[in-house]
Amino acid sequence: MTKKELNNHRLFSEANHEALHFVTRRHFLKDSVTGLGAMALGSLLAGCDWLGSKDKSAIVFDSANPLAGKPPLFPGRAKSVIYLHMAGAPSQLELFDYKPDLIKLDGQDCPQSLLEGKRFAFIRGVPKMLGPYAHFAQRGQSGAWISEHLPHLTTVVDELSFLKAVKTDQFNHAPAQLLMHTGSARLGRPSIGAWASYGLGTENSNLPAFVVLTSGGRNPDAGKSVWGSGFLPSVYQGVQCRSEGDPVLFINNPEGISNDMRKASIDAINEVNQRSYKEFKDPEILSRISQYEMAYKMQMSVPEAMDISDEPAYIHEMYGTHPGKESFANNALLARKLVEKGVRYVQLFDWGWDSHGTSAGDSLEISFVNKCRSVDRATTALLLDLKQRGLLDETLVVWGGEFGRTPMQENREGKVQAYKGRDHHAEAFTIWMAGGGIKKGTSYGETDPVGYSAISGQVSPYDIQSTILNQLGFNHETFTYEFQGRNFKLTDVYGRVINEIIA
Amino acid sequence: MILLSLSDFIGRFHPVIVHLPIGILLLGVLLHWLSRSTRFGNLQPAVRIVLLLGAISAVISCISGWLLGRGGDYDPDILNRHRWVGIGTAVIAILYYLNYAKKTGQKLPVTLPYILSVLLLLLITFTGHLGGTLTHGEGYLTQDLFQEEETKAIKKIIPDVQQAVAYSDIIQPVLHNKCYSCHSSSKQKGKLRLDTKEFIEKGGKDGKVLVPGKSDESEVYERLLLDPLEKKHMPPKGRPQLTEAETNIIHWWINAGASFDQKVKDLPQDEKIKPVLLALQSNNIAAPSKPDVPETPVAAASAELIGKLKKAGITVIPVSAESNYLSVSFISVPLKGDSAVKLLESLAPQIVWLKLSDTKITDAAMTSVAKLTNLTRLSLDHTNITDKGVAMLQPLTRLQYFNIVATEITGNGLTALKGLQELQTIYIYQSGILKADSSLLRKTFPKAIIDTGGYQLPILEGDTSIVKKKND
Ligand code: HEC
Repeated sequence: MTKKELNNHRLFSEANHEALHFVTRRHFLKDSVTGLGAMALGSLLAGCDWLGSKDKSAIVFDSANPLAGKPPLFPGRAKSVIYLHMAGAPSQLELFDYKPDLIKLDGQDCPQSLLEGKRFAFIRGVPKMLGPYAHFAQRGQSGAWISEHLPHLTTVVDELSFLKAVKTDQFNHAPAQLLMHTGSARLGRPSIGAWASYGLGTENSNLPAFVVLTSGGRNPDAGKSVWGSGFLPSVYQGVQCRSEGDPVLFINNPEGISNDMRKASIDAINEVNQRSYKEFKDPEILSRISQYEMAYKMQMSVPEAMDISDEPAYIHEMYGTHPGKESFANNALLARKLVEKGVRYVQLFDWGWDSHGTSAGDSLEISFVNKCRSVDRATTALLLDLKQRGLLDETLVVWGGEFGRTPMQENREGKVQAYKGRDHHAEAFTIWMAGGGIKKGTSYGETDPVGYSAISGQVSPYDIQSTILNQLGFNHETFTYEFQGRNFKLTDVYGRVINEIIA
Repeated sequence: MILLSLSDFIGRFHPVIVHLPIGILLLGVLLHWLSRSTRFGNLQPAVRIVLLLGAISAVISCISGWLLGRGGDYDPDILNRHRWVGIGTAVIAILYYLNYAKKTGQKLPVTLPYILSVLLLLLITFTGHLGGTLTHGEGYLTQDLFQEEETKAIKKIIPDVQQAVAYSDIIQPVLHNKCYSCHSSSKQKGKLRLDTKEFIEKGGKDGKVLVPGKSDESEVYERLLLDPLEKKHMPPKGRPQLTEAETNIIHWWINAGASFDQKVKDLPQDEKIKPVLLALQSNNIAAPSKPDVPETPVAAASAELIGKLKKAGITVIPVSAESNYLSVSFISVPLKGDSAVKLLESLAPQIVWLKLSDTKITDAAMTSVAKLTNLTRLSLDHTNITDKGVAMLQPLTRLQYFNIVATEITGNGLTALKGLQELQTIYIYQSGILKADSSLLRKTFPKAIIDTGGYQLPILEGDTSIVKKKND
């Protein structure tokens, strides 16, 4: 052997050795077990298949293009969803669930029957009943009861379907929000928006499928997990955008980096990733490549899509928007723009609805009224604007909180509060839906004379989720993702499509 | 207390006993045929015994069947046929045995036993089928083969609930969807039919089921309220149940006098039932009376053609996983012009939804769009399309949704589409259509909802101010 040959030989064996380092004992065991498992599974599946497995609905995860547009199981009535979540839980008793009997009971001790065996977040001992801090009237052809706190919304009640007896089983914000959006009060499940983008992909290849917009100065209590992708591939998680400052954090190139340079570096990274894909064939690498490409495209298109300043003045007047500020109104207008551009799921969170009455800042008399004012005009404008553009027909709008509020006045630490306020209440609250194939001007479900619990038409968060999926064209019972060896569903084993409100 | 007479009791064994002659006679025929070959010649003695047993069991089946048929609530037509074909089977079985055993004396053709055996097989099959139809219902054999044969749920379109006829528009569809499968021409469970006024008034095996004005004495309502697990609950468990609204409506209808011809507006309505009734109304819902995807299936478009569009950046998605119809959108490629639209022509049979919103297309592209005659939804909003382009769209007779927001199309231009009978919603916000055109358009498109947009919200005090202090 010449010296060169020897060197080459050494190099070769070293490279080989290095490569073998990647194959650990675990890899070996895992690969062999997977092999065995695959063989067994293959024969099992083959055994099932000729019996005619009807599951044509299985969604193929194409890791090279995970957000490519995909068809739903059946033609959906809604192509997009805008979910307006009032984080903190607005009081149904001051907005939609009119209870004249509660006025008469105002200030009286709460009857024992309502307290026995119940737990509340803050109420202790025997609280007093609290009459509604609102005047109600019947509006529209449908005669829906709605309070003066939402004067603009009263003009469009004939577009809405109220669910007046929603019951959840969580009375703390974070778990209740998680349950509402992920189908589980514990962390780790994908949110509805993630399921929707997994199932449908994006219509517009330049924009994410699932966008999250927050207002009210804070993110919801459950944090980013309420728009997380859980065990779904991470490309499906919600992309949080902002109406103040850069629409997406770190979207602008750092100083001194031009767009071309940025493109060149992304190309280089993708090239390296391509090579390692060729070597390891790990599909996650492909999805990483597509994410880089997506990020680059978004750098171009998101700032444009997120810019509301180019909207005409009468639109700003309609929504009550002020470009450049963080506000619910700005987010509502953005939601319309995004849906118009083909985004599937726009999730809004507006923080600050937790009216306990411990101070002016969380009282029904002051902060609650101001919260109502800050969303009333924009919510109404959003509905009307979608309608006049022919979009309400194919966009499902959902409005609600994570739970309701007690018919009793809160008596934190057994003391009378300085302001009117209500405690968290899981038994019954109101959510409304509109557009996207939902009936107009109806109401489903009814609560008892004090609004404590449902007496008919009770629905659960799972039912709401099933209904949203149904409008998008999915059956919540067959829309699954296999994880850790079993098929997971958004609604677990629960959920019923609320046909009563479907047109 | 004697619950069942002895004869009824014997009748109950019919479903068990029938299987004996079926099995034994089939075996007999099989042995008979086999014994013809020399290899199985030694089976001959068995044939006689088996055929004798078969004939006896056939007779017993007939007797038990007769007894059961007297008391049960079966479809009389099918029962009659089953009864006589069954008796015929027994007779042939006896003849077959006699002939085989040479008990008939006369000289008969040697082929006769074979003719009888074939006849017997046919009769057994036919009797069995009729019996199955009696217990499982008409069409049970093929229901999984031809699923569309199932009674289709009907849904009435009610433009104004007060003008609707309470029975035929509201009550009957509920009965049709939830009760007819057991209580109409095909089956009369409990000897009850619910498919006409006369049958409903006649009642079932326990007499009247409807007492006008008294829901709590009317079986048709009371049975809906029973515990769903109870046997008498209607519809029986496992079957599609009534929704709460449907139950409430039946309650209201009976208490309002159970009228078969009056309109809703002529019946008393309390506060509770009003919203339930209103919810049935579909006038203010842009609900398609027809689905916006054709019901007749279409052949799949070639992957190559779809690939071509996708390459051009056009979004092409089937409307559902099980459909070949396509939804097409130019949303990712707003700068595309007429040449890209031309690509769509090759997919004309499949494209049903098309979004050309906010693109650079011109009127010339409408020659291609006009070829997509299956279109039900078309968005041309925010484009430069003018009356000239719209005039070309007359072939789109299936169009239901038409969006021309922010275009220069005028009222006169739109009337060119007068012939499009399926149009349900037209969005004309910020188009060239004037307020003055509205009566013309309403006349041209009497069935469509024309959304003019331009909604405004008044400025209210609360929009600009905040509350700082309690005002008590
Ligand atoms: C799956 C079949 C099935 C369906 C669907 C069904 N029923 Fe029945 N029904 C029966 C049977 C079986 C009986 C007889 C047994 C009994 O009396 O409980 C019966 C009996 C009745 C009777 C009593 C008749 C009498 O005089 O004894 C009434 C009333 C009735 N059904 C009403 C209804 C109504 C109303 C519906 C629809 C909402 C309905 N049923 C749907 C199977 C059905």
